[in-house]
Amino acid sequence: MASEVEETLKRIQAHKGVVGTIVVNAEGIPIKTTLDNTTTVQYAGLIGQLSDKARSVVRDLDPTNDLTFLRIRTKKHEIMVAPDREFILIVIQNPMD
Amino acid sequence: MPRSKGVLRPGTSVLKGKASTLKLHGPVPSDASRLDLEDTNEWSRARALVKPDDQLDLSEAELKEEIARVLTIRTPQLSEGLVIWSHKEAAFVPRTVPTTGAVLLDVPSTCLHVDSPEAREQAAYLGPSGRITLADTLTLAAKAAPKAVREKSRKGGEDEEDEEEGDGDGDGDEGDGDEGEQGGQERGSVSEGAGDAPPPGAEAGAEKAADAGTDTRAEDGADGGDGEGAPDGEGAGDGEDGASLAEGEEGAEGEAEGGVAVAPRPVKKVANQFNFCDRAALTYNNPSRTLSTQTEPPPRAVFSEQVMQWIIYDAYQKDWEEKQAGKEKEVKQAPKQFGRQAERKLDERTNPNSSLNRSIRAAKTIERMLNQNTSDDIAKDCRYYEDGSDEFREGAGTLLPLWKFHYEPTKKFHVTNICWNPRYQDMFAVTLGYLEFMKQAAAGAVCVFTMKNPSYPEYVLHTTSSVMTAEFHHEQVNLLAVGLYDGSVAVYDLQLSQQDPVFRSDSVHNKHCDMVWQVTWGQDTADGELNLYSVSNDGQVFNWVLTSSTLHQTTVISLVLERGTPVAGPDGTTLTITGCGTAIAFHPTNPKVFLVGTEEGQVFKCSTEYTSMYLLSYSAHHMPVHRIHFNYYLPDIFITCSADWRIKIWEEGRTEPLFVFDLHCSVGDVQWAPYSSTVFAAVTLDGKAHVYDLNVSRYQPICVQNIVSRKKNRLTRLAFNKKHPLIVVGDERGTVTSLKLSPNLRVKPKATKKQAHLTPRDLEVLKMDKLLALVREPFILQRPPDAEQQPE
Repeated sequence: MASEVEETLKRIQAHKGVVGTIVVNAEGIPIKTTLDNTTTVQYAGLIGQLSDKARSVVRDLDPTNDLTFLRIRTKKHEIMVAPDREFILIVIQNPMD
Repeated sequence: MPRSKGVLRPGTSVLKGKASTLKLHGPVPSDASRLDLEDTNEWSRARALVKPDDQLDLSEAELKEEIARVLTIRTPQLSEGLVIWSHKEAAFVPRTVPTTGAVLLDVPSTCLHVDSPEAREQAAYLGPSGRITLADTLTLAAKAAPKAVREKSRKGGEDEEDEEEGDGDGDGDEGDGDEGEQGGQERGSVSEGAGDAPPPGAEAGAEKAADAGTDTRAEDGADGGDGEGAPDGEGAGDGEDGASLAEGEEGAEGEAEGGVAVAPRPVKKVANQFNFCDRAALTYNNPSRTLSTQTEPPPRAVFSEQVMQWIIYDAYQKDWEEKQAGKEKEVKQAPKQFGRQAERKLDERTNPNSSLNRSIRAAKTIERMLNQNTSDDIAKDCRYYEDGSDEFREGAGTLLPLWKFHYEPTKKFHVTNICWNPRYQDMFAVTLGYLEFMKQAAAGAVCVFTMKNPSYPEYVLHTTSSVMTAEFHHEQVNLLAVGLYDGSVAVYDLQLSQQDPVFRSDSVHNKHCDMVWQVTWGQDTADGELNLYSVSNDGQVFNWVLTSSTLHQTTVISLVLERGTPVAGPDGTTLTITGCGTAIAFHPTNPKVFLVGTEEGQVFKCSTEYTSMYLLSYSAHHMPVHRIHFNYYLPDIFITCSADWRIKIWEEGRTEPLFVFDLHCSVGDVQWAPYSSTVFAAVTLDGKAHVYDLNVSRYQPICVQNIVSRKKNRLTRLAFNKKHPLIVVGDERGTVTSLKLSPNLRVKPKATKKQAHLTPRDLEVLKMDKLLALVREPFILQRPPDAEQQPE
């Protein structure tokens, strides 16, 4: 099972246009990354805050609702965030490639 | 001093005791005041001495007389006999004046100073022996008696008026005190000269005078201290005769005069200045010690929290769940202990909320997002693109290739079957194995793809043998029945996401003897058990019932080619030749009737209720039948395809086909379109997909398109999506291609004005019926036997 996650992450990284993959644990510490250290820390910190805020927004509007995914489309990239209670999975893709 | 009453007695008169005052302490203040006067007079003398006329002329002596000024606690100005009107008594009542004195200290003592006259007197009484003789006692008593009487009378007065008593008493005291002092002074001078000599009579007298001023209590105490048998003054006074009384009076007078009344006695040497010994002991003080300890500080923590509406909601939700859990626990206290661990294990895998499954889901969703981003154009084509050129082509359409699905490890496998999921319109299962039976590998796979993720299958199930067929259950869509090349049948549960099937029949007795060509789910049994049918090359059709743990097998029918005519074997034995089943299809409306195609080209119509006979036998093809498929709209119409290049459309009950199409190549698969009664599609081994619409053309396909290169690849199977205008086509390289049908390939019948009330389904049925009416050959009426020709 755990290897299934590993495999999927490997596939994601091998996917066309993927710039990097970051897995952040519940404490906000990046535990798995394919990017360099500085970028990883920056992404982990900022995206963590953003997803917390986004979740707060969603749950404040309706407490029975919850945030499941977050996609941030930028000029250069698309940042896909899967925020969970125990981890945050961040994938940065360049869809133009 | 025997009297240690530190009291300033109230009512001490200045004027009355002027003689004594003069001597004692009068001079000091009076001198001072006079000096003051003189000082003031000095400067006034320089001037004319002014005298008031009425000034009293005093004689020289009078002027020189010293008038003492004494500070007294008594207010001289206060007039006596003040009265106040009392409304209560309606009369003047004497006004009480607040007393101006206070007793600060009143200590009675039995101690006598050794040099004091009392002590000497006492010593004289005691005598050298230190004991009191009877004579002493008598003398003492006689001396005390008059005093006691006086005390007594004074006591009586005391009760009547305190004020008066104070005054009178004070007078006596004052006088006594003065005398005592005087005596003391005299005694001091005498003792200077005499040293240890016995006290002179004057001293004794002074002592007596002082004695007279003492309290009765003090006297009593002194007497008690003197020794045993000393009667108190009162008792003595009562018991004595007049002589002794007179003697006492005389003694007292003598004393006042300074005469000696008591005969001097040898003075007892006193070791101490006082006749008492005071011994004090001081206990050791415990040494004080400073001891300090420090306790461990209580744990501290910095706590900060934000409260949102949803946080409160979550807290309540959690509380509620805990309560519910507690209730449930109470309900099922200990139903079953064993097997719980296994359950928990299963839970870990199947529970969709376990963190592992959540992470898998998150990763998969992200993967789909990536695919959506990269193949965005394809997704939009799939949804929105319609071939515009169709408008200008009448009766012809195209297939738009969309995604290609392939799984790298199964690249060399052939696609043996494709099956859409009945509920999830984007999901289909692809079975992978080998159709070339001379080179079989001991491996196979089932890949379940979803259109949302073309790059990787959603589920991969690896098997130890080629997988020939698979089908999803129509209701429990997570169950996938699989037929394998080795003759076994298995059922997978995709929800468990495990590699092992939940049911598998691979024991020697519980499987087919040859490869399973097709499996299909049957209607659930009366008991609600799931069951499936499989058809195999060994000529058997089995029914498998899914019991709690095993697949229960029953033979539905044996595909004997020619009933009742055993063929003679080479060695004289006879044997029945069975056909090799390759395809099976259940009647859409009658779940007991099914058709089985064989390698020999025969199609048998069978019923599950008759195991030994066919309902009908069609000599359909000359080569193996690859597919039998019932029309979605007309349940009696079915289509077959075969390796003999032909597709035939049949109507049940007719042994002759209604339509025959020759594709000039082995037809791998044929399927009716779910959206139209007249459209079907077929794939041929030369890599072409053919789409026919009988309504458009009964002879020509409306679309023939090369899907794969003819030289390198061949198409094997095909499947229509039930909802969208999509087909998926499998080839011999393990790849599945999805294609979109252009608008011309899915033309809907237009209802005329008369048909306005009909549903689209009725229209489809009508459309097909119209066609069939053209091709149905009328039943040939048999001429009844001629009666005339009857033999006679």
